[in-house]
Amino acid sequence: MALNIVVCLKQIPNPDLQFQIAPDGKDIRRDALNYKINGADEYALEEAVRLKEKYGGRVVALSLGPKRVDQVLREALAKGADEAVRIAHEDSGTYDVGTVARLLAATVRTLPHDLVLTGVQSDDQGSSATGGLIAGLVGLPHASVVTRVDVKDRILEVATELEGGLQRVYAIPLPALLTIQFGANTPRYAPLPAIMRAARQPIREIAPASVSLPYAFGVRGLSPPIAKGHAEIVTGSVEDQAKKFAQLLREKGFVRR
Amino acid sequence: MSGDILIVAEHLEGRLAPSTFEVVSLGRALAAASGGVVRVALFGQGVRALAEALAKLGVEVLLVEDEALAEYTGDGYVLAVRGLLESAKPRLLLAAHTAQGYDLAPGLAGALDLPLVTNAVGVRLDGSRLVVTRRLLNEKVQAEIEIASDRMIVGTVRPGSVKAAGSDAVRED
Repeated sequence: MALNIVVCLKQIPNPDLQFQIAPDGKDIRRDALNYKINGADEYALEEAVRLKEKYGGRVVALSLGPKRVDQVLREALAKGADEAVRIAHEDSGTYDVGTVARLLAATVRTLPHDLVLTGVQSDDQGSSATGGLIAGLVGLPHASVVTRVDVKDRILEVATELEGGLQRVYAIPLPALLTIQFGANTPRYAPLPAIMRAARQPIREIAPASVSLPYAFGVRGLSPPIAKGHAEIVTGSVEDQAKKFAQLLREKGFVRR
Repeated sequence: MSGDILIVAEHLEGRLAPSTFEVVSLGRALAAASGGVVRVALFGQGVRALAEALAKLGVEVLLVEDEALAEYTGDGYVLAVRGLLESAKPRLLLAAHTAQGYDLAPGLAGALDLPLVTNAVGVRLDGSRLVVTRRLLNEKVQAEIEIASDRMIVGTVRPGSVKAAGSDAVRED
């Protein structure tokens, strides 16, 4: 049961950096940034390669962006992807997840796909929406925040993570889309020969599809976030404090009742 | 288009999610500004008590009970919302930005080709535009974005960014 897997990868500005806002206030300053693969997407890539190794098939790494994005795709090739496709898209900001997802969906439709994987969220925009949107647009069933994937007779069994330490297990028929949670696996390091081989592999660059949006989107402006104190000081005897603290942990869903 | 707001409630193990009360609070503030009505959709099986709890907040509750909705599934909820949209024409559909909310909202927006904005920490209306505050890049940058559409806009609201219903104050970030 060979699987055709498409894994969507995003290149993001290294989120550990400090950011400055561009003079027009509509983007961050991009002249001194370095870029990396989005954290959750590393797990999606690893899951894709593991599923291929287990069930056979092919992994296509798909990304969108300017030429610099090839770096992420080469990393994917070095780690086991069979093919890399970049949708040439020069808008470096991509603040609108709807545009990004529609461009990706248009390409996913043209690729053989039993399974489409994305990371659960991006560390730059944090929308947690690309995967679900692609699924809805392409017409695939999907599950989010996936921590485990098994395939039996073209049915996926996936465990997904909910708030409060709960998980929900779904059976989903292929073809389907999953968004992979951080920590779902242990991403591998690419061996040096694979890195060298990947450096010579072609990356297929395709023109973005023309998509029509059912809305107009605009960035009004960026600003440093306003720091606001929401600390709650728990007072009283040690026993009262402990009770109040335990109650807060339950209310916030950190512990099960 | 109406100024009505449709909220999809979340419940788990017989309880309404705390974030649902926050979204209701935000929905009421937005509806007050737009002159619309807030409706809360509750999908499930045997959840009438939860519907009554929501109704006590002073919102109209649209209860849809079906065996297929006993547990959340993205497909089931999309179908259920689709059914409600045949009679209601809200301007905005809101859910909490929880594992369930950000599973449902993008899937719905994709399936029905609707505008989407997720993980909002602030939402307001400015004339015909929806203005949303979001946090980017490990919370180091705040962005204000706007969406204008003649179609229903789908949005998710980050838990903890709005005070829960019971107090009408909406935190402005």
